[in-house]
Amino acid sequence: MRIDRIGSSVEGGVRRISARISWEDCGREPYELFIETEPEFAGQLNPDPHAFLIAAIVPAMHFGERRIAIDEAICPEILDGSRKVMEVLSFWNRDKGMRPCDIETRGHCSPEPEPNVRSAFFYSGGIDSFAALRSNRLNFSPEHRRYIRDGILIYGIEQDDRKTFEYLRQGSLDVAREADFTLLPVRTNMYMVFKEEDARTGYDFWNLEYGGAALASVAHAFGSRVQDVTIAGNCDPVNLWPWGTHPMIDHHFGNCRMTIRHDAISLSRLQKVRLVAGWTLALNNIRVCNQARKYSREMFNCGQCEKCIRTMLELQAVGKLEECSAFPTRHVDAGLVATRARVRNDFIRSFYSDVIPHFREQGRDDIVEAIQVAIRKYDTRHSLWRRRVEQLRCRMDRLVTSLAKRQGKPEQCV
Amino acid sequence: MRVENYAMESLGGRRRIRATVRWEDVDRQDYELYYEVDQEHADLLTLSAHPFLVGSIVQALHFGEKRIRVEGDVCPELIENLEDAWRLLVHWYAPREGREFKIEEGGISAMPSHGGRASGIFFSGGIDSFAALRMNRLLFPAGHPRSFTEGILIFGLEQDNPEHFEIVRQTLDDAARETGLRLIPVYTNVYLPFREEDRTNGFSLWKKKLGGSALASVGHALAGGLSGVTVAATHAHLQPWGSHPVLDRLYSSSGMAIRHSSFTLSRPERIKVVAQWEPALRNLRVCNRFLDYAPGHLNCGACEKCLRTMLVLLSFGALEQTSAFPTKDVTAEMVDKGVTRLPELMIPDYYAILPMLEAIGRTDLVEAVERKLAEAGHVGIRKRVKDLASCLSLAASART
Repeated sequence: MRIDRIGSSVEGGVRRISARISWEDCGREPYELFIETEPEFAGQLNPDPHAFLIAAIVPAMHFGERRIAIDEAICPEILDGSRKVMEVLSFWNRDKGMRPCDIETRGHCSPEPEPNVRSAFFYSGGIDSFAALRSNRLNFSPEHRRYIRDGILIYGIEQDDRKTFEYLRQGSLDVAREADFTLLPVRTNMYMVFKEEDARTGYDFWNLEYGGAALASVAHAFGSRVQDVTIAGNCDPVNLWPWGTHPMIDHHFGNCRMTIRHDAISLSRLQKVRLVAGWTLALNNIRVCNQARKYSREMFNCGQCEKCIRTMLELQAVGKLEECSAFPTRHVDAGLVATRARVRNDFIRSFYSDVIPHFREQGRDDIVEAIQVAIRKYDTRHSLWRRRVEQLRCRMDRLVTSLAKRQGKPEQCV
Repeated sequence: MRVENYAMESLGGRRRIRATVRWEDVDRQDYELYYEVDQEHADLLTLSAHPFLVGSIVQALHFGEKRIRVEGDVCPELIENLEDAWRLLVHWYAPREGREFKIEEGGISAMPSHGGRASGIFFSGGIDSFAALRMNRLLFPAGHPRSFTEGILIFGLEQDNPEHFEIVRQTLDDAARETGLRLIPVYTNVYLPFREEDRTNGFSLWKKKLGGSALASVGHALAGGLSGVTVAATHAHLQPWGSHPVLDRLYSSSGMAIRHSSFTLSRPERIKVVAQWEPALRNLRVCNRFLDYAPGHLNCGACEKCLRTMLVLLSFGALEQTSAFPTKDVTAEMVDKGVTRLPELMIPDYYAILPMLEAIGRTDLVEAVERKLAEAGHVGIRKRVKDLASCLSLAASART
């Protein structure tokens, strides 16, 4: 892969930084990778080569490129971190044959640490990002450099509809005003170019590989404005499986000028829900729904999809759904759970099983039964084929482990 | 647990910070926790709650205290991180206990004024620290904020004999000078009050829980001159361990970054890095039999750790180039005699060594290592193929 033609342009006040990405080994079409922002923040979006390198390493590995060549001076810390990330990702995704790429640069640069650090976080309106913001507000005073001042809202990741993004942007502006941060809207195609084909594999590329790198890339693009950026974690220690954004990965994209943080590894989803639910502003502005085309100016959650149902259940479990105006309804009944709740993986299974004791305490055996049916369906559906796949996987794992042992490679990840 | 009565004082040519650690829920002896440096490095030492909090939280958790309360202001980032750290440790080692634990601080500190900007590494002279230093030197130009300038050598962890420590210090002083480091000896009892009872448990407290936090606490004690310290990775495996790439970082504050380096390299890969660097090769110290140390002789060349390292150096053709070990070759007899028990965690290293020894034609050593693996209940692929081949050939000859 080659990264070149790094530059910037302004059109209608919108500033865009871009680079051409050309594939060398995998026969894909070259494309222009861009990040753009609104006129208000145009002066702080810079064509930083680190942003493009970080945005490129995971796709390069994923599609089997042997090297990444960028004709720019790169910070050795970013180089070192990128290599570590590639090692970790290639180990986690060894069954896909992922291999680290060589990185070729035009020498090193030594960025100077910024004396006045400004903190930001990626704001999506979801449980994780609201929990990160709430925890920041509870722990850091406004004088502290870790006090979050900017919320980066990205258009072009889970949704790419301009009209609904505008609704979201407007809604988020109100939250930002009340929560004392500046909303920093960003548009990028760094994932859009892969999204359609990724959809065919259940978004594995984004979920398991690219998430952390993509967000860190955007952070570097705004390096002249923010120097400490938090990615809200979505896994607790119980569910700390290989994932694209992960405490083993995200911070490696930082350097002495830019800190990338993976936040709150120890809070379970339900603990985060409790944290968010205790804050009225967040409670009324949660956006968990990925059905972006169903967004309206007033409502960002359809209240019907699995993710909405799951979050509503969690809020109801902690006794806060009734006070929440972010969903079309203020209660979930067993019928809704029975028809909509769907457990797709162990991660989601743990969310559902976590709320069961709360509904038991509330005497809602009907809801408990509906959740248990959904969990049982998952367990049954997966048990037969899963056993076989697991058997095959175990055999493969044993083979790989024995090879790894012979090479002295890492055996297991947290 | 309460951590209180902080003080900084001069003591026999050294500068010391100390605090009293009082147990509240478990019946143990209170103790003075201290960190000391020679007077010439006194400017690095800073008196705050941080080293004492980081240096006692894992012990509090391990022995069953319900809280840790520290006097004075604490960085909010450190508190946030420590909460993650203890939850991670609980999840690793006692997930079903539903353990409650609280960190209580006197107040919240403002942003540090940044006394120090230098970057340090814990420098023991072993393979891990030399490899981390070498990688750092190869990657970061001098003057880069991440380029190591200070090498921290700790007295009071694996050994506390002043005479033997002095021998190590003198050797590493030379090594540090050659590699562009300033050697900072730090004297602490962060582990000493627990070491004897930990010995009876195979040092499990140190290995599985305490290692990272004890080192990190030393880093915090030196925050007057340093802004970051690096813990060299011990293992390439990522199982729960006291020093771990996820856990170590959680001992960081806004003013002190704790890093965990080189975890993607296996031990043989690290030895290769060291073997190609003359100052490291000459000054290597891998042996833990510190009672046998003498000037110029820091490795016995006969224990399991020495032999394991020597085997890899031998396969890289580097053993004959170093005077760090008493001999310039390894024989099968030395392996038979010295490797009495294969540590479980080192089994992957031995598997990695086999093809390396085979590549240099040392079948005597390959067989010696395979014997040891078999004794430990591990039969290598090579041996299995051999056994299968001989079975097949026996079966074939029986048929004819």
